[in-house]
Formats: sequence, C-alpha cells, structure tokens
Amino acid sequence: MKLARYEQEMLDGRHGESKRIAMEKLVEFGIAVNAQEMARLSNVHCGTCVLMPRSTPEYSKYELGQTPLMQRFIDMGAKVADDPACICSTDPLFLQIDKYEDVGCPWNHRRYKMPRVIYDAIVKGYEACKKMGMVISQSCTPQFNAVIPKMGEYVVSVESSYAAYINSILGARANRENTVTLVYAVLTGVHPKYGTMLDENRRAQVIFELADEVRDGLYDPADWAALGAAMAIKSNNRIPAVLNLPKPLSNEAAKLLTACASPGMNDPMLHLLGITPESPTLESAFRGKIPKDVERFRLTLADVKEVYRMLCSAKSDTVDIVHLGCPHLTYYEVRQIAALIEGKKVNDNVYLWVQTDTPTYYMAHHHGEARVIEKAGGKIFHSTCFGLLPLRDWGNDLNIATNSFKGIKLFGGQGQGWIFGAVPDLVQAAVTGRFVSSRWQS
Amino acid sequence: MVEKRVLKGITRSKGIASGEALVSDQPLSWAPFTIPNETGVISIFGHKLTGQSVKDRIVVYPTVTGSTVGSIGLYFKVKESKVGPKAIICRQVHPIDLGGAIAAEIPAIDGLDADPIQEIRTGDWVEIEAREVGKEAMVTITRKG
Repeated sequence: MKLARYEQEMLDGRHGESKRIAMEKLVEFGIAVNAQEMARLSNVHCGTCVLMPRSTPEYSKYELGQTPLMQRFIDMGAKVADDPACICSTDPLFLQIDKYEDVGCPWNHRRYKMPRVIYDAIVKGYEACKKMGMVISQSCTPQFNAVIPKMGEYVVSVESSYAAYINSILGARANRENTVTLVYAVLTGVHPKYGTMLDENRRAQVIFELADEVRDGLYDPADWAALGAAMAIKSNNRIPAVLNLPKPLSNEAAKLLTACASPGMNDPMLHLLGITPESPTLESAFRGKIPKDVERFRLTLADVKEVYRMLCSAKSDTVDIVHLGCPHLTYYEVRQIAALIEGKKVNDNVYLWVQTDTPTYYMAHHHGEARVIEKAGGKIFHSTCFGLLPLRDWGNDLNIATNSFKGIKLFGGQGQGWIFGAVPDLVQAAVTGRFVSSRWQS
Repeated sequence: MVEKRVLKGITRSKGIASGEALVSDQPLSWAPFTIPNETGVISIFGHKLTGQSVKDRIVVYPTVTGSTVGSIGLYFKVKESKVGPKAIICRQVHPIDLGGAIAAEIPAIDGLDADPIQEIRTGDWVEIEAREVGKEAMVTITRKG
C-alpha cells in the first residue's frame, strides 16, 4: 500500500505506540482487501465499550466484542485521531445511563432488569470513550446530530443505515464497515480505501422503477421501510438505481428508505435518481452506458404490502411491546407519535417505547411531546438501542410490534413474535393491547 | 465408503483448520444478537439454521447479512467465549466477516473452483490449508457414505 507521509510516520511509531499498532492492523486489512491507499476520514462512527473484567458474570452476553480490541488502547491512554477535520462519533448502547432505575424502560421492566455490574461497566466504558476524545453522540443517525459528511468525503461507520444515507443522500463515501478495523480508524483517522469508497464499486447494477401508485401512495414511515426492504430483497446484493421517487422526499422517508441497506444489502448504496448527488440521470448512476441486459423491476403497492406480511411472525394479535425508533426517531416522528397518543392511555399490559437521539429527546421535552407520551404511560428515551439487550432472555411468549425492517431482521430471531405495522396502528395497539392493521384496508 | 474431494480457492484470511461442515444456503450474520456470543447458536429471523451451533464448525455460507457488528461478534466467539467456528468458507467473503476472521486468526476462503454451497454438505469433514493472503487455498472435503 502507498502511504502518505503522516501515515508512514504513524506506522513507524513516531506518533506513539497506539497509532503504530493501529496502522499495522489497518495495513494488514488493506492488503487483504487489495486497497492501494488510505482514505483520510471526516468521520469515524464507532461503538462505545463496556469495561468489565472477563470474570464478570454474563461477560459474553453483554460484550459485543469491541472491548477486548480497545482495552489496550484505553490502558495506554490513547486519544482519537488528532485531525480536527475528523470527528469520532459514537453509536447507541444498551440504555440511557441516567435512567437505569426507571421502571418500564427496555433495560428495567417486568421481564428483565439489567444487572448492576453490567450497568457499572457501561458507565466505565462511557467515561473511557469520552476521555479518549470521542463525541458521545450515542446515535444511529449521527447525520442529524453530530456530523454531516459532505460530497466526496470518506467515512467509516459501524452503522450501515447511516452508511447508506452517507452514500445515497449526502454523496460522501462509506462501506458497511467491518467493526474490527473501525477501532483502529478511531486512533488514526484513516482507513484503507476500498469497496464503495471507490468509483468503480458505486455503479448501479439493477433498476427499480416505482409505479405511480407507489410514488404517490406512501405516507407512513413503515411504508418507506417496507419499500426499502422490497428493494433490498429483490436486488440480491446488487446496487439499485431507483426511478420515479416523489420530490421532495421527506427527511424521514430518506432515512427509512436507505436504512434497508443495513440488514438487506452488502453495499450501502442506492442511486435515488435526482436525489443522490452523483446520480442526476440513469447514465450517471451506471457511470456511463446502461448495460442492455440489466435487470429491471417495477415496484407496485402490492410489493410494499407483501413486506408488511412477510415481517409478521407473531402467532396472535396480542401486543406486549410497541417499539418505535429504529433507526432513531426524528423530532417530526416523535411529534406524530405524541399527537396520536395524546389523551389516551397505554394499556397496562403493554410497553410503549419511543427511542430517539439526544437532541430530539430534549427538544421533545422542551416543546411538550415527551410529557404527552409519558402522561399516556409511554416511555421516551435517548442514546439507546434496545435491540442490543439480550431479548433472548425475555421469554418467547412475547409479541413486539414495530415499524422497523432493520429491527426485525437484526434482532427478530431470538424467540419473540414480531409484528410490522404503520405508526397509527402501532400506537393504537399500545392502547388496546391488540394489533389491528388499518393500513391496507382499501 | 469414504469420498474425498479437493477444491481450490483464494485465501482471504490465512490459517490451517479442520472441522465438521455446517452449510447454510442463506446468508449469515455473526453479530451477537443473531448468533449470541455466549451460546454460538444461530438465532436469525427467518433463518433455516436457527437453533444450530457454530462451535468448532467450518461454516459455509453465501455471504454476510445484517449488522457490521458481525466482525467483532465473530472475533469474540472465536477468541473470547470459545463458541466460534474453526473457519469460514463463502461464495464471497464480505469485509465485515473478513475483519472478524483476521482478528480471530481463522481462515476465510472464497473464490472456490466450484460452488461451496453445492459441493459441501453439513456433516462433511473439511480440511483447509490457507497459508498466504491472496494466494491459493486448498479445501479437502471428506464425506462418509
């Protein structure tokens, strides 16, 4: 690999032992993926860690795998990359740490309570990451709160839905990055340039044309997640070019549509014609001539509806948990939920969990939506990903309702029944304890 | 009767390994919420192999699905909780799984001269010799009739 002067200096150990080790690992990975050079990053979006000794009970249950790699750098007192143009932001973790004792939250409810020792380890990890210099955004949508990568910039991200947003909406460049070398990018601010960071790997390979009924007929956040899912499934790991999208495309639709890449696609890239900065035309999405034999799909409302059906595994209509916020809800989405629940009461047998990022959480407190949700008996919280908790210990006699394709595909195999629904139907299910779909009645 | 077959592929992560094959015709994710780090038992929404253990197996699957956390999940299961596979063989090793395999110091092989999902069956004994990244890997499959 060809290294820039500063990269070579890091590799030679002239900027400290932690950077030397990190560069060595990055070069090793770069050779394995046949990268020619490093990309200088404007953002490293990584996980924080849980600092506990290996002897801790349930160590393997709560350690995702990052801490054993990070521990020695923490022990060395290592700092994040010292490039002021590179922000190191963080992904959500298991709970909102100032609400550990709050009953009725994902980490503390009638089927589960996070052990104290794990909570203490999370707080220690949080403090260590802060000390390293990370911006503790604790968000899976850092594009809305920590950093907005610009056209042509390079990013490595633990969060695939963010990576897809970066490529497809912002025109910056990111892979669905492996979470091992991400740790080393935190320290160096560089990463091997490969995959969808390179022009030749960003080409569209399949075409989706939305029927007018799809362009004009999607309105619920779940619809956009379902449309993304339909494309991810049919694309079979080819990069799609998508025609006939509505304009403007709402912020939420852009977030939810691109989030399909997280569980559904190897390369986090969709050419949304007329929206993706590098794809004003179909030719530009294909970077030249459109191959004659390219596969084309026409997507209708029936395809979107089919995803709703496919994502339901629950054996009954009883709902125990309604979860909204994967990826984290925007303020607009929180406002919609508050308007739907206002004046109603969440059923005693149901938890309504409203998961968002930190700025939105405080905004909703400031403007009153948080009070409305909590007065109804729901919970709103931030900096959390409930799916990281060991759902497999919560019992199989449990139905979880959500509007997240990503959530079901990533966390939905642990024994519970899942229901995929539109937001008004989900809020109504929280009130009645039963899920009834009104989305596809007409 | 014992049937033996040798396939040649490309070494993505190096190493020598042998073990019983577990073959999935669906993509796989090594993330802790899909194959828990404490159990090594597949628990993926809609996956045919849900309930099967990956411990000490040579796991054969098309490519990755799901979370990027698969990298550290694979590494952790091999190195820390000891419920991980001996090696992975894919049609295409995605960098998510490659990063994990390198850190776990287990072989990762793709580019075989025949489709591994068709050629290898669950229960076959598989031996891998993969000495240098980017170079040829030998995969020997032994099937008891």
